[in-house]
Amino acid sequence: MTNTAQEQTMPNWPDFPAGIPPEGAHAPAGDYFRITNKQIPSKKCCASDYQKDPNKLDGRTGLEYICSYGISIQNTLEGARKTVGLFRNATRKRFIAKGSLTGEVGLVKQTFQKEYHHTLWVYEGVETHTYFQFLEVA
Amino acid sequence: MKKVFIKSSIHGDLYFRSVYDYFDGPKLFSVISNRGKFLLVYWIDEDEDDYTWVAIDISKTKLLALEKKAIDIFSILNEKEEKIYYRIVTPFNKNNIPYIESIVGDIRNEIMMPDKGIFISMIENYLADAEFNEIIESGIMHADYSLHIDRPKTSKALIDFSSISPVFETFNELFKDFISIFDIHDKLLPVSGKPGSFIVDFNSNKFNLIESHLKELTHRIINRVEIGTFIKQNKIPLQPLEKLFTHISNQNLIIDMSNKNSDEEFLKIRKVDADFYLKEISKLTSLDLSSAQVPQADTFSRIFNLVENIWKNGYLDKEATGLSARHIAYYEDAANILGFISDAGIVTSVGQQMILASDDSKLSIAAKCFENSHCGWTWVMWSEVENISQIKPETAKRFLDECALTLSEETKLRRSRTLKTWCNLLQEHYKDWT
Repeated sequence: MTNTAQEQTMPNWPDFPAGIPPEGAHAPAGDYFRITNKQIPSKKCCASDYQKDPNKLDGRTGLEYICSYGISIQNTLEGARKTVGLFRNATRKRFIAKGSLTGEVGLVKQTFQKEYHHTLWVYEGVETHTYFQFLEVA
Repeated sequence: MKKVFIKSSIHGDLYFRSVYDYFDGPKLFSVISNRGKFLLVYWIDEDEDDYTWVAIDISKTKLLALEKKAIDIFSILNEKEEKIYYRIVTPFNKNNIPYIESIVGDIRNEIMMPDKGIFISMIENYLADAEFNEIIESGIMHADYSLHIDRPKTSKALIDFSSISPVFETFNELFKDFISIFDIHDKLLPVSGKPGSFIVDFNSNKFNLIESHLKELTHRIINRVEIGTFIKQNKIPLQPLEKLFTHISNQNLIIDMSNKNSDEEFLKIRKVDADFYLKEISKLTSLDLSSAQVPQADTFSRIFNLVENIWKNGYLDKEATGLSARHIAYYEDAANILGFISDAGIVTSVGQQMILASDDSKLSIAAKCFENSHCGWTWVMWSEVENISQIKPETAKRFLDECALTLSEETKLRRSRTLKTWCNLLQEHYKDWT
């Protein structure tokens, strides 16, 4: 394979600010969980805060700012259930979806202090929601 | 880094202090107000345009217990330290204004609570010590509200103490009577006064509970619509309101009150407004009882003994009463309601007459004094009879339901029992002097 051919197959990042994704982010390989608004995950269910509304990022700095360009996912079902348990009211009409993710989706990194909490940054053009399927009602 | 969560109409700027959980953004965190008050903020909903949160006032001790994982998130929300909590809506669009309201009650009645046994997962501090101190120092002169007392431009009379102090007293009474409905307490704390007409800035943690009612009242007054139903429905204390309107009318004042956080003027009353509404308010007030005007002391011999105790000693020898501090207070109130002792606790002339009278006459004097009291006469008026001998004692609860709007149900039940006891006994000894 020539270099040119390799470059053509390399996925592109959306127009992220410098430093996003952060160092240490790696290709996912395995099952992850996402809390979704719809039973059949929609595009919006897997949109980052930045994609939903850039105004949401007002005032966010550091890791919070970096993670606002990605989405919160959990690497264990128990972690997803704990998140639901903590925010019962906010997630009362939501669902837990499961997705098998690989490096073609984007990069992932464990973020903040809960071991199961990860942030996923996806490549341009990736339809993240198509990787997730309904698992259970939150 | 100092970062504002919202500019609250109740607290002023609320600064992020520490984040305790993250899920597509910070969703559980503490904030600090300009006045150094801590609040814990918890995510409860989200739609296309806004986040919704609940927030509670939290002491530093309890916040530290949360941070040390000595207390779980369920318990901290369920066992809040104040009777009120706040509901906050923060729009994503920064051009839209966040909304905050005070709610009296338990959070568990509004939302699905978090599971028990979940503790915070992280502490990400936003504020350095120097920034924390900066917020507190800058907040020393911060005031949430402003009360402005003025006279019309056509008036040349200066505003002196006699014009100002009754306004403070009546506002204080109005606010305290109003929040007593919820069995909560708060103080109006002056921060600074400014010369000129007269402006005083003040703080209060719970004034927001009455703020929206005063705004609606002002709106109705401007439009000259009936206010009686609104006042009764929302349990706005009538007697202080009547005092305030009378004072505005007599002194030719203009009073306005504004929220310094939202820059909104929510109350304005001028002499012409007071004059227009005083008749309606006075009519309502004639059938209105405040908590202090309704007795809660059943035994007349104890009332008589308490008055004699003061008369003999020159002060109340509390030990000699044999009563608990709470019951002493009830019997002092009863003696005051009957006019046997003054507000300052001094035996009045009718109190002295009662002491010198025979046992039977004591009750006859008490019967007449009760009839002359605001409570007794309001009951007579409400019953549409001529004197207390014609009142039906069993109507006591219904009377309080209709006339003592600021009393809680439990208090009304207790005091209606006292009224019924008084009425049954005093009717036997009532002497019609007409």
